[in-house]
Amino acid sequence: MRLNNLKPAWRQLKVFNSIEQMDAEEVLSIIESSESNKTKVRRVLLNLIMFIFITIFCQGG
Amino acid sequence: MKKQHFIQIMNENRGIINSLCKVYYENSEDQKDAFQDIILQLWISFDSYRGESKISTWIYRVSLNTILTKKRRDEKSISKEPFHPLHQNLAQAKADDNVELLFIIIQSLKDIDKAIIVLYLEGYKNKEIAEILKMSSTNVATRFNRLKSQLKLKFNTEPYASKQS
Repeated sequence: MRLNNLKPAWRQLKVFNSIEQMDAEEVLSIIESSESNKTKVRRVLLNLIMFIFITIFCQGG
Repeated sequence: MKKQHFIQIMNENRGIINSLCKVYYENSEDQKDAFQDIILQLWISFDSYRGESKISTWIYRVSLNTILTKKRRDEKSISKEPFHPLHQNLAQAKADDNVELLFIIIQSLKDIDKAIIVLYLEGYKNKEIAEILKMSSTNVATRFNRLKSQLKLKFNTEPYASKQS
């Protein structure tokens, strides 16, 4: 058996799997979920920095 | 605009992404999970794609590395899936269906070997495969030669192998 003989089969498999259009909404929701996670992490980091700053520099009365 | 461009690229290359998910995962839920992971990683690395390689090469690189990382992570948490010996699956294959045969052969391989075969079938040379999979060329060449002889041995001993000629 020669592996080269399977090259057309791989091409055919890709064609089978490209018949259905990709759902743009699904791709968008995946992308946007990652962005919202990034925003959450950024917000937590910012709050942490603020907390450290206030704890160190804003003590006493 | 950037998102629309990204979606368009994904749509043009959906055959690659869907095929890789199906080659690595039998269960449709797992395929869906892998699909989401791949899209996410492609989006994250979209900015770093500078057009030095073909877009399909970039998609193969990110997709295969995402799947291999995911597989390694899953193997740590879940006991290994039972290995299906090649001869069992081959017995079910229709000799005249090359796609089915390809699928069965690929599914009987180890994860990293699947990636090597898929990239070979896509037309990449050993050096390019090594770059995509972040391996040394020697390692790829050794694995590939071992794979070819294993497949030759297994395939040629099957009773239906004669039907192929």
